Amino acid sequence: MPQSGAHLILAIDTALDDCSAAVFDARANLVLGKRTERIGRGHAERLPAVIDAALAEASSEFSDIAMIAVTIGPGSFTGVRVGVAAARGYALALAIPAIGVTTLEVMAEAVRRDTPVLAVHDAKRGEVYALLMGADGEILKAPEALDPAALVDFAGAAGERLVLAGSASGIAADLFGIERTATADPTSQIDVAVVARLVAEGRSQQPVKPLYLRNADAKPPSRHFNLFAEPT
Amino acid sequence: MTIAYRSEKCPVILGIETSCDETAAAVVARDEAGAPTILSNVVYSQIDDHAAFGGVVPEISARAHAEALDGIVTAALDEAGVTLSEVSAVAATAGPGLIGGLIVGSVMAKAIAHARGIPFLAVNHLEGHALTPRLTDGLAYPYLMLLVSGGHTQILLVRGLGDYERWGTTIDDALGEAFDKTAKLLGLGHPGGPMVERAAEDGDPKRFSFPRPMLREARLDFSFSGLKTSVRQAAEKNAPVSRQDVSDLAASFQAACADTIADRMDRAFARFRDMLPEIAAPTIAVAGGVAANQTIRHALETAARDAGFTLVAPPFRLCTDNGAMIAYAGLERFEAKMSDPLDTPVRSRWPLDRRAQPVIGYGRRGAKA
Repeated sequence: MPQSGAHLILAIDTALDDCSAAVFDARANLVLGKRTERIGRGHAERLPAVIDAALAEASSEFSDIAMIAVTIGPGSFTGVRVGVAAARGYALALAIPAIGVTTLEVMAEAVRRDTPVLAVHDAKRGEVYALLMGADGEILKAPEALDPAALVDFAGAAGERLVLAGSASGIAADLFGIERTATADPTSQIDVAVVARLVAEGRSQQPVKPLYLRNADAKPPSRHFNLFAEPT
Repeated sequence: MTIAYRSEKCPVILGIETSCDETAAAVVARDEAGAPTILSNVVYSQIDDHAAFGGVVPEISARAHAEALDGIVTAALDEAGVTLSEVSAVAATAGPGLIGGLIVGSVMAKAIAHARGIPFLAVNHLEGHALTPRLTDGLAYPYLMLLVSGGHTQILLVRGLGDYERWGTTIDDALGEAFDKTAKLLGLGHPGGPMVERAAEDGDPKRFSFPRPMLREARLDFSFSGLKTSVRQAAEKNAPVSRQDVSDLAASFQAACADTIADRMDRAFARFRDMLPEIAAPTIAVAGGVAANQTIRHALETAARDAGFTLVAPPFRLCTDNGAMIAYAGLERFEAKMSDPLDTPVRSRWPLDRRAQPVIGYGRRGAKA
């Protein structure tokens, strides 16, 4: 198929445990090929083969791809960079655009029905990453790293009736109370088809830039002793 | 000059280097006369990002690579005046180095190669340095190589492509690392090499008698950790130190480094003569940021001249980390019909000479040196 006829989205996710790719037909609103491997680590090595598998299932080639969609975090720092570097590389090589999607909006969108969704992912070190999506799919609160105790404030009025998604939804359910929440499968991760769909529908338009939500661990050096009579 | 790029005879290689704190990309081609040509060589230094921390912070470096690399690659292609359809293969540093940056560089290189259906080449960073004199000076194999940088201190016999004998390495700190740590100790700032050199300019190199580590030992290895300790002890003894004290400490430290290098190279020259007597006009090539230090350069020049070796020092921007050296190593590998699969991992440790005995830290990831 000539480049001019390209209309497919190649979606990539390596931000959490999974290494996934999907080929999505935006016109037909159809997943043509999808491959997800729960590998935990080694995304950088595995990704090209996962993309090949998705392309093969879709009977497509790179020349059919019109756009790249990729998860940009929050997630594992290394995993996020693998996705971003790959997406930028494929976009550069194919001279097509790339669009970023946050992991949390994918989690929320995957379970959204007729109530707001709070996506909460365990960020370790006593924090969660959270995002609030309205019943209509609008992002009410963009991703933040929070103390779990701050989640009720974060959800605000939407906290009256919530669906919880993500690995920290258990923690959140305790805070909001069982009667106000329904909890989606907390072990489910990123559905790469949703990544593609959010971009196809024009709902995600983030630049392909890692969303870490946390600074790099680094401290300026402390001088062990002062060699100098006066501060230098 | 028009070159029939991407013909059998004139391959064009995109090279990517992200192993430490330079985000770099370059395009190198073989021209019709058979000479390698640097079409572009773009280096973005992250030095300001790390300055506050007195050294390279791996996570900050990985983040900066992820942010900058595709722009640097585009700049390298634009500057070279080539499109990706003219590129024959993509080479990237796959180790040794900081894992976060290596992943960013190799993933992007693989993505480009994958999407364009051209070969991917996983290049050893040290091979990039080792082959640079062939790119800049057209050196023929075999030759002797001294690599002195912030991460490496090695004496190599470069016999041929992929055929390297490591004759000596550091058993603790790299020479550039010793400069950085000394600069930090003396409050001279980062990067340490140029700062120590500047401070040493009006210093007395004989005032402090620092050890020449491993002098007169037959093995060609280096050790700079004890020297660094001696500098600290001398500084503490003289605290509070004056500006002149700092200059004298820097000059004395530098002199000890230069003497050590000269001693080790003397032995390397002799070994080369014994092993390869048929090479009438042997060459020693130097690479790495420390090669820019004038005191060390001078010691090296003297030692080489006395031993009848020609010293080849590529221009500074090709001595420090850059993409052109990776593209060139990729070019030689491409011409030798080599390529690497897209599941090739990056390696924080990756000795150039697989036969060399590990001198320190043989763990799960392999020998540290």
